[in-house]
Amino acid sequence: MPEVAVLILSALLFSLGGYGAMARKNPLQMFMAIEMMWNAVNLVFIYFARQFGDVGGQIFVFVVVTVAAAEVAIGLGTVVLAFRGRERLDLDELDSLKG
Amino acid sequence: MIALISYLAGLAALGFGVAVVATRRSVHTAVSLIGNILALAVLFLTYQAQFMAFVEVAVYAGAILILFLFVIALLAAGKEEERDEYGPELAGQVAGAVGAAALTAAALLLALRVHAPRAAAALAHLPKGYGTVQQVGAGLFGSYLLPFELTAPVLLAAIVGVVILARPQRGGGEERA
Repeated sequence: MPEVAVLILSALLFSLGGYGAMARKNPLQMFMAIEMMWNAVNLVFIYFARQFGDVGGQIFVFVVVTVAAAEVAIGLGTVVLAFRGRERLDLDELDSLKG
Repeated sequence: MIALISYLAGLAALGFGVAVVATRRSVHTAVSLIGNILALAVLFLTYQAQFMAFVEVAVYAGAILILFLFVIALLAAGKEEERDEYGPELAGQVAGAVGAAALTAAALLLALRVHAPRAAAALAHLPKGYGTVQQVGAGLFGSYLLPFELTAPVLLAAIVGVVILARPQRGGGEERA
């Protein structure tokens, strides 16, 4: 693919993920949209790593995947804690901090 | 041939990406995300990132998405209504997302433009065996040893955090939301 197409694809995936993260009401689906944002960034890293012939970009992807795995473990643990015993899987239910 | 494959993979990634934000049921979202990740792994392969393509499939499509599916089975079963999630303000939201995409693409293209000469020079002298597992491994245990080692405390912190989260509450009566 021409480089413009790769960058536009990545930007589209990133923005789609951002849109999903903001518009979704289901916490799990919001989380999955965020995962897509991580992956859009990974694509740019991999692409630029080859453009510059520098393997460092690929190693950054390794670090990003590790952080994403840690984030998912903690995040899903929190979601399970917050929504266990609730009737609906809806982020609007979490209003106990509301003044 | 490789160009054709990368185009197809890119289109598939985009299609599954739309499905990730458009599907109503969590299971469908998870399956779309798996498709998105597999398509991206193919793209990684066409950019000579063999090891990272494997990591993407094994860690993302394997471990992370299975975790998601477990939590969906635990939480979402029977609780999801077929409701119209996005509501009437959809047009404005889509416009915002398209604007964000345009801005992100512009920033990336600017970065590419600024570094174009360096990239052209580097591409012309792409090291022999670039992107092989050997080369990535040599990088991981060579000049990038510190970030590689730092992933260990990150994972340890995640493990400790999850164990603390999952521990039964002491003291009773305390509500955690």
